[in-house]
Amino acid sequence: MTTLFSNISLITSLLQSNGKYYSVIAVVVILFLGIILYLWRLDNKLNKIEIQIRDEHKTS
Amino acid sequence: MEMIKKDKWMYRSYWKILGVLLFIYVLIGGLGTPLKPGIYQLDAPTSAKPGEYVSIKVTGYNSTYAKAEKVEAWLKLDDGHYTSSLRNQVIDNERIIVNFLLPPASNKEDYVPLTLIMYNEIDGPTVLPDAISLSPVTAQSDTAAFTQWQDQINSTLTPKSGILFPYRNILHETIRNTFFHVALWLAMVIILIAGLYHAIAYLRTKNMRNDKLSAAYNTTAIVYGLLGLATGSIWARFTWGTWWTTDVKLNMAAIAMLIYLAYFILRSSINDFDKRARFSAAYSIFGFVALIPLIFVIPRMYDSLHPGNGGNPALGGEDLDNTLRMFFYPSIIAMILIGVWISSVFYRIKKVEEYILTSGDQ
Repeated sequence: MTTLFSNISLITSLLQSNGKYYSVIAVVVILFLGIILYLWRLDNKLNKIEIQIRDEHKTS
Repeated sequence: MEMIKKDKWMYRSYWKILGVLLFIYVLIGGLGTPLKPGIYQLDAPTSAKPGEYVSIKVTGYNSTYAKAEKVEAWLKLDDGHYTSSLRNQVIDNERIIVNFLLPPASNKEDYVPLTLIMYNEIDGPTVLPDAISLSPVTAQSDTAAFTQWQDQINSTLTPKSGILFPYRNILHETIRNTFFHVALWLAMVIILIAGLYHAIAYLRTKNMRNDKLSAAYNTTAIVYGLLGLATGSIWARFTWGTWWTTDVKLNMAAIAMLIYLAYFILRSSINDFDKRARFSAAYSIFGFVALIPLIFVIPRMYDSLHPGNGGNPALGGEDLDNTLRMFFYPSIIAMILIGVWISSVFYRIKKVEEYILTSGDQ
């Protein structure tokens, strides 16, 4: 538990260094990951449709 | 044949390419442009008496104290009352000790904050308000002593030229979040307006195409909104010192997001196409009508940490200068274009999904 907390404080001190520049990087990374996650969900939706089409071809 | 296909592709996709190029421009410029020099930290007594000798150790940011020919420093009492430093001991580019002999009088009966102004020919002027506070004097307030304050700074202060972002205390480098966090919220509102437009269009025409478009725009907008909350939370942690505060703007934005999250629950809980389309169109009109006062009206009526409230506008004013605008407006456009792109993919998936469902029934 203490190592977890020391890791977190390590990360926050890193983000605060260089005039908090790395916190901006963190914001950009979150933005990127969020959009990627959304694309991932859209991808899953398309997968389902593809499976549906394939199954229909098999049955017919 | 090949040529026609290519032309069509260009015709259909130029705005997507424009969005991506604009975002790359914002990433490179917004993360790469340096900040103007500023005063990062002070080692000084919290208060000083008039007539006292104070020495202040200044830590600069992006500063060039050692390289500059001459570093000047002033303490400002108010407009028309300045005192200049006696001599400075430069340690290196980032560190300098400035010494002042405070004039033996103050015109105030209470503690007054003095503003530190520094200037050198490379960095231009840098300012730190509340550098030190001047304690009140009661005995020695004669006008002769008072004239020892200079009525102006006897140097011309030319600002550092070039494309540089403004240096703001507390904000420091996080001023760049303007291009990501603030632009994201503005893009969200624009995309929600597109969703609202299609919701109204559905109610008027009963065309299922409008229903799917409305759902696509609203979904993308909510993803943007949730990302806006997450990025704002990170920004708050490193400027206000906490992930979340009970600030009006923050809580109202969270409520607005919850209202819109209910939109998806509504959509997923109704299976009948027409009913779902009607209900969700009506709900998204309600959601937008609730969002506007929650985000733009109520927070302005209360004091708030968040810029854009309590009488200080978020756009315009000193917070957004021309160098920030160079990247802020392109960032909004880029995020709108990318959002419309993602929405169009969402819409086409829904279209194919519906096509399969209806053709399977027959």
